[in-house]
Amino acid sequence: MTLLMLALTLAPAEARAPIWSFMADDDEQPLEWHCNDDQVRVIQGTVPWATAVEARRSNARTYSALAELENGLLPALAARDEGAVWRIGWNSLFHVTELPSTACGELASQVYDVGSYNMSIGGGNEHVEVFYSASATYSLVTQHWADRSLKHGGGLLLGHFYSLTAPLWGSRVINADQIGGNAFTDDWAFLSSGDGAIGGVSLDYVAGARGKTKWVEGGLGYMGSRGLFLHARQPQTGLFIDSVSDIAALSDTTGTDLLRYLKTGASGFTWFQKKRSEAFQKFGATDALLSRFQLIRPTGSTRGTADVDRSAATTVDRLTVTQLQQRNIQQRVDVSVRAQLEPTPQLYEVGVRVHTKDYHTDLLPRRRGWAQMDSTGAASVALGILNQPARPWYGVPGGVRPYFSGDLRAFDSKSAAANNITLSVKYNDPDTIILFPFADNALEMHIVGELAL
Amino acid sequence: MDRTLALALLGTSLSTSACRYDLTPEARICDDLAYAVSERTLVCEESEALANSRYESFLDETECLLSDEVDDPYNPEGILVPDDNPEETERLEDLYDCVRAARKVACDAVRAEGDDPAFWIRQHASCALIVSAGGAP
Repeated sequence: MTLLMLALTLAPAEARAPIWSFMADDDEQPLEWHCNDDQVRVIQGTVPWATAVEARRSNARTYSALAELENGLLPALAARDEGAVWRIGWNSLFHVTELPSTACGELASQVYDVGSYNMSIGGGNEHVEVFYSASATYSLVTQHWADRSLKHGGGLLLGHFYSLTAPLWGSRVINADQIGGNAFTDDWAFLSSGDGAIGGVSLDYVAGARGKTKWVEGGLGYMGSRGLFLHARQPQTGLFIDSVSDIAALSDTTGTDLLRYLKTGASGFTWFQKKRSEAFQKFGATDALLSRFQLIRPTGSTRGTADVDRSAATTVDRLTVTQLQQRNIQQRVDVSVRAQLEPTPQLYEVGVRVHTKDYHTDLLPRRRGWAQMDSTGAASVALGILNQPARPWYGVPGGVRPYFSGDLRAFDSKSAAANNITLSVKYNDPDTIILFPFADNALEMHIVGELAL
Repeated sequence: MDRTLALALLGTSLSTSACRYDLTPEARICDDLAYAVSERTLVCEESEALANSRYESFLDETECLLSDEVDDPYNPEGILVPDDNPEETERLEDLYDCVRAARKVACDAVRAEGDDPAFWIRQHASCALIVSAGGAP
């Protein structure tokens, strides 16, 4: 066994790969690389460093709770006529950026990751619903994701997140217990130890109510990081509008817009075909979407003299994107084309998704009291090309990238309203790159559970 | 036997999963300086197009003086460097003083001279050790 282990540990050493930890000398005794944690330090003041410091309290915070509401809770509630839904999820985005570092006199890079815990709960009857979505976003520099351990206890109920400990390199530990009381301010959110550790936790939430009739549904909510959330939808056509308005912008002199977020168009438009019709089964439904974002730029004017470790994230990137998508072709295939309109017009994404028959639960015919699906599982695989815009001010050179995603969902009965769990993996996901424009070749993992109450 | 093999593989995977970082060529510092030029341009000029073009022209009109190969941490006997190397760490930090200086340039100066690569190189003494004006050879 010793010989086997020695042989296996020798293999990477002989290859002299830049990532390693052990090798053997001529006497076949393994030597440990002595550049330990205390001697590996991020170089402060670089562009990727500033981006990493600011990223968590900008885009990640602003859109995590909103995405949970729009893509998670509201579709789940739409599958039910009454009752409640509780969703909880873990999301992690690995390899958001690489930070220049020193390691025993060598130049090195360490990986910066972002992650979030999402929680939402909502329910009501066929006319009125109340909803609450929250996300706690953590960010940290990890030496290697396999080395990291996160301990999570408690929950997110009422927006208070606690007992998240995130060991950084060295012996630095951030414990959200100590800072949760000021969870909705920015003052605590930046944490940086003297030797360059970066990490932190921030919270956001959307809370509100929604009413619906046969012909129209709409809701109002308050979003912790931005202000007023508005949602309206016409079920027969799929026409909808979601927006977030920053009330503070009315008195703001920095040039930010009142309308911070807008997503509108038609989702799941059936061209007035019944969902059981042959034409719908063959051609599926159309999504035609227009999205406009104001992303807080995770870099900006620096403050003071010793200022490169903290920048004023008041400047914004305006981004307008349009997407045309045909879903459920032959009940198995989706195709998507997306273009960036602002700031520079360009093709952004072309992709195809292959999925199981019951994958899009919003396109299933409603059969009250019947099993809606043929099975208790659903899965999909998507492949495509992402034309990532160049953003050297984030350290991202841009260019054409492949993207990939796959997900697997298991229900406890053949109903779209049933308890379920979803596992998904994404690489260079176009939606993620919009919200994290500084990410390049990033890998995501998501685990989401949904419980019918 | 199967269990022994499994333990061996587990031990191996654990030992290799102790990887901490990637070693990087020092030419990365040239890229980081170009990124700083782009970022400072965006902050001061509020133009993404200009931030992009200035990044491209900075790369085109300067020559990187640093190695584009990863430093070999092995000494001639093939044994790993046994401990920290504070002198080399300080040298790298000193080189990055140039990047930090570029990120702090006053916006008035950026607007007046930001198109000139030599302007950015003048911001700190260490910049001349990273790039030289005049483009790639």
